[in-house]
Amino acid sequence: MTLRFERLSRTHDRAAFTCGVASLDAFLQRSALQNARDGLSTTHVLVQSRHPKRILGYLSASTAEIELAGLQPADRRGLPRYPVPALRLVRLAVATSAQGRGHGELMLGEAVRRALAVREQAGVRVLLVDALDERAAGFYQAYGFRPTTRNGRLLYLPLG
Amino acid sequence: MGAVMATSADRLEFRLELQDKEEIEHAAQLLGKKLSAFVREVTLAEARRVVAEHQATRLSADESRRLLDSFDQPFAPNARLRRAIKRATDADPGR
Repeated sequence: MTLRFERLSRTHDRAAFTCGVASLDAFLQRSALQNARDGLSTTHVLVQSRHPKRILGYLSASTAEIELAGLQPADRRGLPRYPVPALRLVRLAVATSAQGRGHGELMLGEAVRRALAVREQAGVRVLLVDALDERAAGFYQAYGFRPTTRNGRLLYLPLG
Repeated sequence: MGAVMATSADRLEFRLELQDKEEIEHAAQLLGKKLSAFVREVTLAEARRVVAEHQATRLSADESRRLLDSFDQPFAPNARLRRAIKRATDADPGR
């Protein structure tokens, strides 16, 4: 089974996608393409080479900013910008029929890969993720993400 | 709304498909709510979620320091994340 990532397009069968969370299905079906056109977020889908229309999972990312608090100017260590530019993984979903095969890990790996590529291009230093619930937050923590104090469902990974 | 007190006097009007309207009415009915109250609540909740999603994230002072410290270190993924990144790289040898 050869898996690959593609940028979401009209050729993908968005209507058939269901992951068990209505808001995640609705975003893919109604908003993801429009958001990409408007430059609000980009969405990539995981497909199998032999069935390229069937969406096994998707991930959406947008740019974000992180405000640092309580820092003396000397502590900012010459950061070129303030706040710190970040990439934010706003949604990650695996189709119900494709769950339990490690696709979540694969897509998280893809998100981090993309974030590292953006870091090279645009100086993004952090990847933020929005976890849907406690279980999802635990998933990200296992991969080294740290929850923010204010909001345990928002986690971050420093990119070095 | 002007400088006057909020009196719920503002109106929001829009066109929609009959089918969509019926679906919304049905949902409101299931919750025993008036259509207007239902649309107000649901729309407002979604608007707040969207705004929160686009707002800048604010870290505490401790977190800010830890984050800055991490910038001095090379990217250091743990074993699981290294595996995840490798799998993603293998999934797309063309890039």
